Amino acid sequence: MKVISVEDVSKKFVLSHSRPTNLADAARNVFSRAPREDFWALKNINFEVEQGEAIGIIGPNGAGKSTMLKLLTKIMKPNSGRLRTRGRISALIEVGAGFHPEMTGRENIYLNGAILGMTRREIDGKFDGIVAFAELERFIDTPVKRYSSGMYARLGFAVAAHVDPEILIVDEVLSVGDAGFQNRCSERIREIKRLGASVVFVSHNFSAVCSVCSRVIGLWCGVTFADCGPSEAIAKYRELLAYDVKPSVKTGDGMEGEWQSDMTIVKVESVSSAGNWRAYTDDSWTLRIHYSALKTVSRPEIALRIITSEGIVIAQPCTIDYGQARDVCGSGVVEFRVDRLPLVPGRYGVEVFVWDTNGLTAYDHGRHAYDLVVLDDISQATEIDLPKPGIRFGLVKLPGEWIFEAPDIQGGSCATP
Amino acid sequence: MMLSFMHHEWMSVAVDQTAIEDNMRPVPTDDWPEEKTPSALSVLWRHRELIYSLTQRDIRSRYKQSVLGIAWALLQPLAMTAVFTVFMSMIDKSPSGPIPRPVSIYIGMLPWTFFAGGLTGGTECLVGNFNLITKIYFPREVFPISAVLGKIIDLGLGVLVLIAMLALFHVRLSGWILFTIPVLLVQIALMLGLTFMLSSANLFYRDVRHIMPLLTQIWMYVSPIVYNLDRVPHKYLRLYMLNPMAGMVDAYRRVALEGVPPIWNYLGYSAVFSIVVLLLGYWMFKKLEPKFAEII
Repeated sequence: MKVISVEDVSKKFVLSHSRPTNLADAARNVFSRAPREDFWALKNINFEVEQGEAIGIIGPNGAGKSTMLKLLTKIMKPNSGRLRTRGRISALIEVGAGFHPEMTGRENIYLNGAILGMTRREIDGKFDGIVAFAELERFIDTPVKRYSSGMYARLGFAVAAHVDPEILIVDEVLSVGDAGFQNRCSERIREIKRLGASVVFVSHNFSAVCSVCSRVIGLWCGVTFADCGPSEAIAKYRELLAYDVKPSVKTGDGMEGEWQSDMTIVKVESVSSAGNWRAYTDDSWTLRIHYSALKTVSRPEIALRIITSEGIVIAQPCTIDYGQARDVCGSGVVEFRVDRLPLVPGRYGVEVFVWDTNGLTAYDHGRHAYDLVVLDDISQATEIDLPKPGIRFGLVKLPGEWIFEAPDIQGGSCATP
Repeated sequence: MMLSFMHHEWMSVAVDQTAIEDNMRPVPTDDWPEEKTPSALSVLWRHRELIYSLTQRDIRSRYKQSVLGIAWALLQPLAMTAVFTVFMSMIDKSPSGPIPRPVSIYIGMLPWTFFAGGLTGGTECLVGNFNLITKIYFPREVFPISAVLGKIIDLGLGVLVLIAMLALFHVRLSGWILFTIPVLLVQIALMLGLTFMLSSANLFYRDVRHIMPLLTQIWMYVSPIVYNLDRVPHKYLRLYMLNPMAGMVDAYRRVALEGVPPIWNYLGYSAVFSIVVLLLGYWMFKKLEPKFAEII
């Protein structure tokens, strides 16, 4: 039995570049139409979900994932197409939205429960379970404004997780709480699934998607690019990322006046066998920084920073730390060479900046940010020989190898000792 | 946005694939639950616990962490009554009839405080709950309804003070006092209708929140709150009575204090006006509701 059916669904937002928010503007706009632009957040989306099935939705930021969830939960209506659902939908979307800071944890459980569609009697029955799940037994009669953000989020999730939904919608909430709490959350999602509910799971965390979902829908700029098994969808996603690469140079931030422009970065190039601003895991990669110094600059701190899309700094090599700083004057090029790039496949940000030798004055900072796409064997290969493994999890590929100390298997049979 | 050439290529591929799959897939025979819009009253009944919880939140949060707590609800109309009793006694020396002036003003001030407070709170009820509106779906009319209901507790406490005042000033009561209840229902209908309109309008144009205090202030002076209806010059009376609150406040005073029936023409007009506003407000609210989450 199908519980979700999405037929040809499209959703449009109007980006009027000066939306009137007061009456004077509105009156003015009657006479002169403000520039408007249609933005299709989702275009002709089709998919179905069977009862008990768990599907994942992946895609980069701005691909339409959140809009899809808002359509599924009926917060928004599609502009065209038909979207049908069967049964009670519960969404774990930014939990704790209905909390009131002045009210106690106990009062908020009842309030949030009612918001999520539970009856008072239902909440009475589940109350102890909710409190235990959130581990807030001692603080349940404290106003939630005194809670830490972790306690707040745990309580929110605990309430939402105790609604018995027929369709559970999860939007990237597993990042709250400590590891133990996260485990309980995943366990709870699997339990809800075991009870026969369908799950729609949106996440950037591919390992979580793989562990929960049997099917993945990939969204890219509002259209579906995949509706298949998780590993296949993730491979397609990485392939798309590789095509989308474009170095984005921000110029003239208006910050320039505050700097001493004794030394500026003229150009940054990425050199590898994979092409412009692309590189392969385990392959060589070189960053060439063209600079220009107006006068002799004593041992400047030239640095690059590699960050994930979540903003985590993976590495920040700089000339001072590497003990390789030297005086510069005039125009020149400095390279940072990596023999075997240990980054796992994915999309990274690369920022380049120059400070004085003490790190007190910025010479050139914040103008040079680029996207670097790291690929692996999967992306190089055609779709036919897909099963070849690449690194899927983690941030870096550790330089190491797996060595078995076990007897060889001869002739396909396993000799038991 | 991030539209580049490659995306368009992908777009066409994706659409083609689903088209092929659609042809191969058997026509779904599942019967889907029919989508019909439930009636307003059945929605209210289904979400009664939610309305109750939100109302409770409104009331509890309003007076938390204040020393006087719920007593503030009493202070507002009482203080206003005291001020206007002194003020009106200074400018209006003529005898004010058999009813002592403080009671006469209080009987107007009490429903007015409810009215003005309900509208001010109601105007903010959608904007103030934007985090719920953009995250979770349930019929949005629960917000205006619980905003208005939340003020009823204040009114109830004010009624206790009224009873004390009636006893203190030895006001003779008649059976007509029961008629305050239908008048109150008419008032609530007007408040709900206006709150439906104001809360959704405020979502689109925040000017509404700034103009409301001013409007309610002016509205109070053009209603017979601090003076009796007989003080209104006769030539302006028809114009004056276009204000639906005028008929209601006069009705409260007549049935509760003077023990006489209300002026039916005035009250009838107020009732019709209020019900039209309620229906119009609800229609407007439901019309705009799908846009709430986007426009907020």
